[in-house]
Amino acid sequence: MLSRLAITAGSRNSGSFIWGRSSAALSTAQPLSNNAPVIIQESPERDLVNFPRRQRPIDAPPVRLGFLPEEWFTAFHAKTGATGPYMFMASVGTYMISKEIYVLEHEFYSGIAFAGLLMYMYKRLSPDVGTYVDGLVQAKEDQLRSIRQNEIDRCQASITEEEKAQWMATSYESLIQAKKDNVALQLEAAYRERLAEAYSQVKRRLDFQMERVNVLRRVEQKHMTNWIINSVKTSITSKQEDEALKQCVADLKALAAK
Amino acid sequence: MFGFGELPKEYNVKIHGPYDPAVYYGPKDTPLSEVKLGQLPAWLSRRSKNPVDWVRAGSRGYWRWSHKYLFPKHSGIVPVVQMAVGLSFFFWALNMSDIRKHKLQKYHW
Repeated sequence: MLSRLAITAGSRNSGSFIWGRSSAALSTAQPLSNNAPVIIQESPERDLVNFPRRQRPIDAPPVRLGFLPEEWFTAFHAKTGATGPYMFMASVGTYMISKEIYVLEHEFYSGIAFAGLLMYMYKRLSPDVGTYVDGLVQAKEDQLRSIRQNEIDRCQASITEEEKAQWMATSYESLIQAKKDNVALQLEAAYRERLAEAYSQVKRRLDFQMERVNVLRRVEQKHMTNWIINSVKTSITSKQEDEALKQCVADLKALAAK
Repeated sequence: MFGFGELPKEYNVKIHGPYDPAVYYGPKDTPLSEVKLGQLPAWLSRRSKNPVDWVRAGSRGYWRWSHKYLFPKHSGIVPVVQMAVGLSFFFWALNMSDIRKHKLQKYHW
């Protein structure tokens, strides 16, 4: 149905289709990465300076001692130097232990043992577990991306299909034109045939008329001659015949004398 | 009721785009790290007295922490350790009165 509409539009617009969105831009679209520009139609009032669109980071920011943010340490550097934060922690810890604000009871020692065990397990297992978990994350991400990519591919396939259909529709147009030409040729042939027919018919009638006149004249002539001959024959008497015969004999004698 | 299940009143989708639970959409004030000591009482007096706002601030903090440490593609073990240490500290503070009974010295001069 769309193809037919396109044909009618194309015949008005001499075959150049104007698309709302260029299909070339879509066909060159890469599989999207995290940094690919996202084109989203938004309100003109949108404040992207103070409220930028959030980007998902790839890696977590660096930490020290396994959990303390790096920037907490760098904030001290201007005043205390690189070891300042550690000195701060050591002094505060010494103070809290000395004044028994932090009481070194049984759970403190069991905590140390537990933390050591966990650190050992982490060092031992983290490479394998890390690769396994990264694989899971990547598989999930690929699956989620494939939903979008499949939709893009499907749309692109339907666009190319539609373009092909329209292209094929243009061939139908020329086919129809050829059929029209064919019909025009047939009409021309029929017209000429009839023209020839009319000519031959007229000629036949004119020939008939001419023949009729000829026949009439011939018959009249024949009749006239017959009539004249008959009337001459009937006008000749036996006396005249005899005279003629005698004249002939006299002529022959005159000839013989010579 | 009390703003439960509702977006903040300052949030406007046309200006702010998709809603981000980690972002404060209200009017901007000087951050605490840039406040001079003399301006501190005035700064504190500008803070909200409404407990709903306190809960919202905590929620925004949780979401900021999540975006920073938990949601990256390769987040690693750091958020787990941070959560463990934070919870340890929280329950240590909660049980402090009981833990104090294990003191070894009666007096600290």
